[in-house]
Amino acid sequence: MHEMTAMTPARASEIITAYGADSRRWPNDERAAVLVLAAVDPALRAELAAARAFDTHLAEWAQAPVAARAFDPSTLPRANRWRWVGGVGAMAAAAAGVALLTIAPSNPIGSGAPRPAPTVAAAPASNADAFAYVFTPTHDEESLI
Amino acid sequence: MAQVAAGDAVAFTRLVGELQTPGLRLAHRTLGDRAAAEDVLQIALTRLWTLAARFDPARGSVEGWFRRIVVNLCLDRRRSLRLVVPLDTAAELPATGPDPLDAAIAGDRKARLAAAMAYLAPRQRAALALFHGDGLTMAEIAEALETTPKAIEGLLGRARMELKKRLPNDA
Repeated sequence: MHEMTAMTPARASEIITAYGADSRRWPNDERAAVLVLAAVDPALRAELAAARAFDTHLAEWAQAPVAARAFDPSTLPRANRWRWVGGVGAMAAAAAGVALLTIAPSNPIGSGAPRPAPTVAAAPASNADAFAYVFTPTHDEESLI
Repeated sequence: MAQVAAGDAVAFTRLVGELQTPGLRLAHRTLGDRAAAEDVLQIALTRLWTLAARFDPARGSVEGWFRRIVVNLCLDRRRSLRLVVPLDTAAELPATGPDPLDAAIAGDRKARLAAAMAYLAPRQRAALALFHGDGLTMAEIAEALETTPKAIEGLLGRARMELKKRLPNDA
């Protein structure tokens, strides 16, 4: 239950102008006061009548049917998919590379000279880093989305 | 939305079925241009797909989030807006409906209203479309337009005043 607020013709006119003539859409705390004032004010009653007609026109304009074209999912970018597929592929490649470096003999048969230690400076330091490396979008990827 | 975020195209297609018609109607009313509205809808749906993982249900509904995307895209295009039909020309447009006089008068009135709408700011058209078309409250419209309910009240009031000024016989 809302208490009736003090209402002036100017505020009542503002409400009718903004909300239209349908009192159900007026502010709850001002509805009763506007109705009471409109009952005794011919100018407000005329304003309500005009607003009611205009509401109809606006509703026609706003609700006129607009047929949407059938949606074709193939037109969507593949961002949601390729990022994951690409990420998984990159993870697999990185893991394979690390595995090869781990199991490869450091001094192959038939090699006379000592072999320099392999450098893997670009490889991520940990699994968490590898995950972040693969799944964090780059600046370019962000711009795509 | 969780399914959409996981890349489920079937779930996304279902969501599109629910959102595309109101989205297109809102864009069309805001921009006054069917082709531009379709562009906006396509971009909005693409964003819904690509940004699905960022949707936070604690901050509102999917419908509200999508409306905000559509409105923002429409407002971003405001520089390219043009008057679709000048008001004077619209008054001379022949009715395209059936012959009866009532249909001709209604067609003429709609054409003049559409022409007058072109003089409003896109935010005003968006607010009118959401209020009179989708029946949203001031608070819901404020969320879509990222402002306050009081500001929406003023926006709607000024929009209707402007239309009344341009259509003295209809308003």
